Amino acid sequence: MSVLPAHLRGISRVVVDAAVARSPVASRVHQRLSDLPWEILADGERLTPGLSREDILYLKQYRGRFLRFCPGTSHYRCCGYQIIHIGENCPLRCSYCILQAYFQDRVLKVWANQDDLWRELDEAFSAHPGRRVRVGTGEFTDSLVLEPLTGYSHDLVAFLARYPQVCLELKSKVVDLSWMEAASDPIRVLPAWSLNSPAIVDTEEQGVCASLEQRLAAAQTCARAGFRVCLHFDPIIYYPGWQDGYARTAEMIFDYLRPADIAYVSMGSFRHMPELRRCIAENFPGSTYIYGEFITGLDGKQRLLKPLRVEQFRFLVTRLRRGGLDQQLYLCMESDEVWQAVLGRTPENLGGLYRHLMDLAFGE
Amino acid sequence: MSTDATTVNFSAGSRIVRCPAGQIDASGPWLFWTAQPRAVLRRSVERHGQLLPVLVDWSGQGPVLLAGAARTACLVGLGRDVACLDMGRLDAWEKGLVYVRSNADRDLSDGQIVKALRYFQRLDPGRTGDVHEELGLEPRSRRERLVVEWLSLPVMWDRFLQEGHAPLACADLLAGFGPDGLEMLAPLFEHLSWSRGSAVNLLTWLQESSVRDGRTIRELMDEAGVEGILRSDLSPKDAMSRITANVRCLRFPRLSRMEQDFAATARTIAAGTRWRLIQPDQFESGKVELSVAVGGLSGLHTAAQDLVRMASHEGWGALFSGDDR
Repeated sequence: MSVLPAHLRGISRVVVDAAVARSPVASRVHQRLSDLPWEILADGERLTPGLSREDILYLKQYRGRFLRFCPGTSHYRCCGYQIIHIGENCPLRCSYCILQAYFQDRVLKVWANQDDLWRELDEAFSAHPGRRVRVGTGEFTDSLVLEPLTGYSHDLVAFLARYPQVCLELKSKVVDLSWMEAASDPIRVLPAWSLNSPAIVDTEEQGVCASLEQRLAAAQTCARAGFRVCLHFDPIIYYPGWQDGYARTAEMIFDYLRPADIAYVSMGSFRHMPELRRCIAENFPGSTYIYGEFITGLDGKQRLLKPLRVEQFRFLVTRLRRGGLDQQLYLCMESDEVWQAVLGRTPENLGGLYRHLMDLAFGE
Repeated sequence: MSTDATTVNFSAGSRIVRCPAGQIDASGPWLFWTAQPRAVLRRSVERHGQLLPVLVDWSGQGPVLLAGAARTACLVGLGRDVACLDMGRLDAWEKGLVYVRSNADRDLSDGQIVKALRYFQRLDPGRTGDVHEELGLEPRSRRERLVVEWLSLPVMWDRFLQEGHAPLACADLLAGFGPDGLEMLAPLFEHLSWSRGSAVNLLTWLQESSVRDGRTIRELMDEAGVEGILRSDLSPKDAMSRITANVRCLRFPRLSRMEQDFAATARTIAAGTRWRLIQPDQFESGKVELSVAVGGLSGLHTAAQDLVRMASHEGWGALFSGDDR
């Protein structure tokens, strides 16, 4: 068996719901983590309270809805993509990660009842075969972070090949391209990487994520194989010297990719619920960016003061435009005013953000 | 008499004795919350006599008061004897417990709780938690957590709490400043009484600015002109407002500048009218909220004419866009 990547070496125990103990996902995990303790929960039994640790991998029979809309937020423009919910939490230790405040525990959960997932997706996509859908798995976990253990994205890519109207985005901060062999049509899969300034990657992503160079090199590999990639500057963080950092990352993009290789690039300023700030202060006391000039946004979340956000967005947009990107650029959860001030257009000018991104996703 | 650390009961040997009030030693440090007796108690004792004995430890030369300071003070004033219940020999910890228990029905302030706990802390810092419930602190409550945090502060800060100058809610913030920071902060609480919200904001902004900008509390307070404000003849309320505003400017420099610019332009636009112009959402929307209170048709016409005149003012552009143009 190949050596596990660093971010998975902290897993010390596997817990499995009995109902999914023989599932393909559980079999793969069992094979790849054969030396770890393996606990099976009988039907109705729950994970023991107190086991809220990130070193536990829990293969669960999930009973909720797998396909759902991105929660978005009021007053700001949402990209409208749909989430395929495959699990919760992430072993990467990014200081700014919303998941540390969003979930009750840090247990790595994987919905191992894939048959239920396939059934639900088939019902949803077969009901409207002509309706294009942009879906992704990177909302409640990193799309690829558990891939060496579960092969989940590989399965999903293979499954979705039969629905040509569905475009899947796999969003990550690690490099795992094993899913590529399952993609029969590269147009329907959008590998995506989160980008940030080198300083933020070094200090706030705690060193177990892939480096910027590795992420972009992986994106280049995908592009050469015919895939178009997505890049996400989210969260953009305000810190002393941010200009140099984000300028460097913008330059690096074009060392690896041509504008035509890129389906779209999102930009989102660091925003958070008050609970997240408390988590960051407690878990990452060196992360001083949380003491920036945040105000309460129209949706109740904390956001950087608008002129500071606009300053950062404009700076980045200028550099990305120099590299040849323009229509692919969009803002995540921003108002029309900010869109206008930064990009000189609003989502309405693009025919609506949802439709615009759908066109970009499908290469139209 | 039991000597168990948490249980102090009457024993068969407890006895009621009488002695001249002036003979009782009422100086024990366990008499945490003594105060001058209220007039109603004085009157009652004078008219009806002492109805309940005070508690003493008479195991030594003379009676040492354990509880009943107000009654004793009344009787001292009247020159009467005092009926005492002699509890027998108690150690310092037990004396404190007897006092706390004899006041069990009192609604204790944060300062009173801290005062009592400081006594127990001096005797045995590892056991103060045993007394929390006796003092009305709910286990694992926020108040308990804050009290414990407060006990980590230098004792000199207790006075600020007891005098109502610093609220208990600041305990964890204050504990985060360290000795140098606390020394710098102390003058802020010497003569000014901060509300909970104001104190929490002030300390939070100072602490966050310090961490973010890598500056000491002394540097920040110098820049905020705190010393000068404290020395000025401003009223306490005005001094607190000025300090708070200046520290907020350090914490939110860009926002503060925008607010000042907005206020200045809004004043110019609305000068001579009853209209009030405010920015409702910290410049997130770029909108301006206008309001006016009118008492009749004539006032309404005037406000409408003022509004028309105001609408042509060249300052509106700056108000609508903030500074992100």
